[in-house]
Amino acid sequence: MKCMLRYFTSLLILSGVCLCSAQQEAEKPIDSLRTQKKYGLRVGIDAASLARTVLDDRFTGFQIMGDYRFTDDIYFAAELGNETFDESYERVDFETSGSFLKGGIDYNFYDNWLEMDNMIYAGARIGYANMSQTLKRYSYNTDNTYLPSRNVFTNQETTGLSAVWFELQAGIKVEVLNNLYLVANVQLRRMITETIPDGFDNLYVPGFGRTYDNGNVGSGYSYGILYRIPLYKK
Amino acid sequence: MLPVSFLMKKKFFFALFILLLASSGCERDDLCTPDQETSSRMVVVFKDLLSPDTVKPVENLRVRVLGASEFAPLDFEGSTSLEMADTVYIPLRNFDDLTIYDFETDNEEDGFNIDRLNFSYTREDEFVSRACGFKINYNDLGASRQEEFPDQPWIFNIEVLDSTVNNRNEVHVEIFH
Repeated sequence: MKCMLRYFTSLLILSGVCLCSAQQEAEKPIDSLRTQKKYGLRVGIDAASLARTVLDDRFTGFQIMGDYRFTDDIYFAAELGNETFDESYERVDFETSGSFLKGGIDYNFYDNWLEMDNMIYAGARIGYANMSQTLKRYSYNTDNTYLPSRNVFTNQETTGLSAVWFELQAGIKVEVLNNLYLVANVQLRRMITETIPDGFDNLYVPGFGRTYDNGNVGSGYSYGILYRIPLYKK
Repeated sequence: MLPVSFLMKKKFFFALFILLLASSGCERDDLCTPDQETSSRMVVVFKDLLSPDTVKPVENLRVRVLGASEFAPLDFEGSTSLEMADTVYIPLRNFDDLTIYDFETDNEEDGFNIDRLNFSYTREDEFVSRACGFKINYNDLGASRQEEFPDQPWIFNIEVLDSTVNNRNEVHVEIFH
């Protein structure tokens, strides 16, 4: 399933690259005047969350994202979303549910020709999640099997938990139709601080993804569609 | 934009990515490995009744939970019978606040002799990891010998040294014989 998603992502990237080159062929006569750049607010939805909601039984999620052009190459960017993750391990079943907000900047490395408006970008974010963790079932780690063990069924919910992390993104935003963009990126995160449920742990954090026992790094990806509300040209 | 500055920025972000990756210490943690913490076992040391500071091993020791057909492991190699036992590590039940054990010895002094011991406690669960689940610790440990069983006990006294059973490095119970 993960492979399918990756396949889909690479298709998106590939189609983006094709479109880029197609646009490059349609050159206009050289103008000594600088072409004006379009400024505006882009908003859109994350298709990766929707695809995973359909394909992955454990996951339900929705994410909107947007950016606002600040200068030629710098954009303010943000993502807002909601996720529920229901996981069963051999000795632990749990459910995480919550919302997250990420805010930061994107920097465009790509030199556009004329009126093209595509991005190959790197971004930085601060992420914040508010969540609840429900420990549903657990059993014990023992070094012998002499005595029968048991499963403990609890529905121990801890609400009001939060997490803050730093995130780097790398990706592309490609204009496929006038004001309509495809976006794809990969994300690398590092947890800064989190509140941990009493007698348990944050095994999953909305917007951050799964955590690791050894270390505080997470990763993810996103792809989706953005629409630009044009505001002015500069 | 100059190509040089473009390259430098690219390098900068690449370096940041590598830095984040390197600091992760990425390891598989979907497997429960033996180095992770397990449920605690009660540590019992056998001592001489006549000189309480001296360790006195028990000959041919076996212990068995009341009602069980098999004998309990006494060490971490899984031995269920020890010829000369001075320190043994005994599992306690994790679904009840009481575990009753029959302590069995076979030696010249006592002959073949079984004493029945009660171990009572409260239970506390502690999270270990996503792969290992939880471990159990025992608090408020109490230990006593059932008086009516047998008529000629080989165990004379039991003392709880440490009533919190949460690691294998502390001695929790001393048995005098």
